[in-house]
Amino acid sequence: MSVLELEDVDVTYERRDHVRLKAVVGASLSVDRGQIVGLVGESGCGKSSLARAAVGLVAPSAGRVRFEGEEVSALTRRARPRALLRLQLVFQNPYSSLNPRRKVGDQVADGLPDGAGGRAGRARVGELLELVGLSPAAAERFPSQFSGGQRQRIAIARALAADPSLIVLDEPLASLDASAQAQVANLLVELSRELSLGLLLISHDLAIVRHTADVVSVMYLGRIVETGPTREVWAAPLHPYTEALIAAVPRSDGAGTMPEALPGEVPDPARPPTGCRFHPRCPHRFARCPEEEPALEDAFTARTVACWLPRDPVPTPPSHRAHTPSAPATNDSPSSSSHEGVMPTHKGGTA
Amino acid sequence: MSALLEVEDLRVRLPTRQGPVTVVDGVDYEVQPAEVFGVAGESGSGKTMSVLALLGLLPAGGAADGHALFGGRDLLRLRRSELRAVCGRDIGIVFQDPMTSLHPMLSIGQQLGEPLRIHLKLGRSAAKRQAAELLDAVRIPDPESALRAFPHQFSGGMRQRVAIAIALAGNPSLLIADEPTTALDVTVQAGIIRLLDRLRRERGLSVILITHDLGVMSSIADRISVFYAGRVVESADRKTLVTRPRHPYTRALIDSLPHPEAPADTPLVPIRGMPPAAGAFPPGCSFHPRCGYAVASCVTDVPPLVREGDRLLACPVDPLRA
Repeated sequence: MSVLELEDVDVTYERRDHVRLKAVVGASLSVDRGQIVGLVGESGCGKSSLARAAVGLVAPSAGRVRFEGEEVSALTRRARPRALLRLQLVFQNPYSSLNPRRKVGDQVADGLPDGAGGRAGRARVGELLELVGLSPAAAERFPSQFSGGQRQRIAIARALAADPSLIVLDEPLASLDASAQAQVANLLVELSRELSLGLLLISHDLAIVRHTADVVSVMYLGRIVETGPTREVWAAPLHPYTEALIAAVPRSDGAGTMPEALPGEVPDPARPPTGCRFHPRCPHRFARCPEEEPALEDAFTARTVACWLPRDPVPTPPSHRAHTPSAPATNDSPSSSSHEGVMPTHKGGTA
Repeated sequence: MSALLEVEDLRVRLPTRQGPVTVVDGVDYEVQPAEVFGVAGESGSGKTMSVLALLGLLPAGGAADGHALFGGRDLLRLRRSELRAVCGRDIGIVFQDPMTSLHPMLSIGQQLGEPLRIHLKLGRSAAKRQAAELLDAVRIPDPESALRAFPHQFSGGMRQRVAIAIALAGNPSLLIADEPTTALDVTVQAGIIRLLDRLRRERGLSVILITHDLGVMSSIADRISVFYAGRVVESADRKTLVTRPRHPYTRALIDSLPHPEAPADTPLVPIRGMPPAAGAFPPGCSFHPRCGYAVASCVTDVPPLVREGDRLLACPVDPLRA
């Protein structure tokens, strides 16, 4: 059974100029225990808003969020319902999410459901620190004595203190160096397996998500456009946006392959394009795309995609959209503005 | 071919509360015309300081020593006023975050016009024409109206293009790009990488690319030097370095990366321990506490950077042969 379920969730904000802006539109996803679900997309696509709705930090304007079968209601000034203790959140920047003036042990103990009191509390803090690969002695030190990767481990230990069944992590690796990133990514996989913990991992880094997540959802301008097992999505993306995201990841193979730029920019979410929201930037668009918005449909077993392009009924995606890492553009390819990611017809930055 | 920039035995010391600490400890590198030279390393490795030192851009109290020959002159021996004429005209700089490197209250035209008037002594209308051409060169759509716009009206990627246009205003032969794509989305990053590559090919521009991202590095850099704890540990052309790394640190760094080509579910191989902080660099080879191949001499002697075939390597043990 899914521990976290989002069903047709909308998140709406009102801008200062009173324009209502839908940051998330009709998003559905679910996370099982012991499963890592990756949520990827460019900045401004609504992935952090979705994370906030998932833990009750913002109220969805439509749809439902359920955690362990119970509806998640938005946080109020009163105490968080005890049932929601088992739903935790870890933020991007461990330099600002930890209090610099309090000992690490005290901050981890804050997460213990029965308080920090006594020897049992201290022992539990030591266990939690060991669980994330730190020494129990770390409890007596201050955050400034730790590196970025270690601080993120402390933040994860604090979330684990509440004995969660699910942790939402908003860009937990973005502020870390390469070696620390690998350490924390491996830690997340281990924790998820050992504690049968559900993880919703929000990241703009597809390469990291591919190595950690079992299932990935791709978000564009508030909508989830593709969902599927990470391995399959990476090997044969169905949505042109997913394809573009994967082609943009630099390849560290030394061959000097240029990453592919995606033309244009993410439009203003207050004025999304008609029809499919991706159509102005889509290399495969056709007449139907600006007219009607495609819904997420089952493409193959366990995969969904929101795109009008025809698909073969058998589980081999159309060849023109199959990802071909063997034939990317090279240094010698002629440059054009679209190769560098600027739309020739773009109206310009003077919005 | 003679090098555009030759840096020899560069040392940088920065003041801290515990007294001055060495953050760059005897670094050599050179940059050829029309080449992208990659400076790789984790935070605190001295990679940024070893480049900013050349332009007198160290934090207050910082001191640089050594030689940096550029156009027949030693940048480290120039007077402040002489350096200011070089910096911005012959050498352009782009920083990580275009939100903070652009002035929020000045229009793009004002910010782009200033270096054109100061370095190229252009008049107002000539500067405006040239500014529009520069914006066009970095593929800003509709340059005329972009000149009247302000930084907040642009996306992060477009702001970085504007910052590159400003860095190119003096028609420099060398562009220093310090983590130019780190703050950007991967799709936008790809566009900036392609832009730098085109500028190198069309204008013969040399680029020093400072980044911790070996993926970005391996798509554009011609040669790469890997920094660890204030020293260069390995230096080679891109292909040699990325496909046949020899220094245990370079190898570990590459193994820790998520490879787009690797089979899925391959666990990442992290480097054990963490990079040392400035002022606490271990003696001998600074990497020895984290190295699986360290021998007794690694703890006491600093391994020299010596030529081994097509690369420079600072490691006396050869893990590939061991």
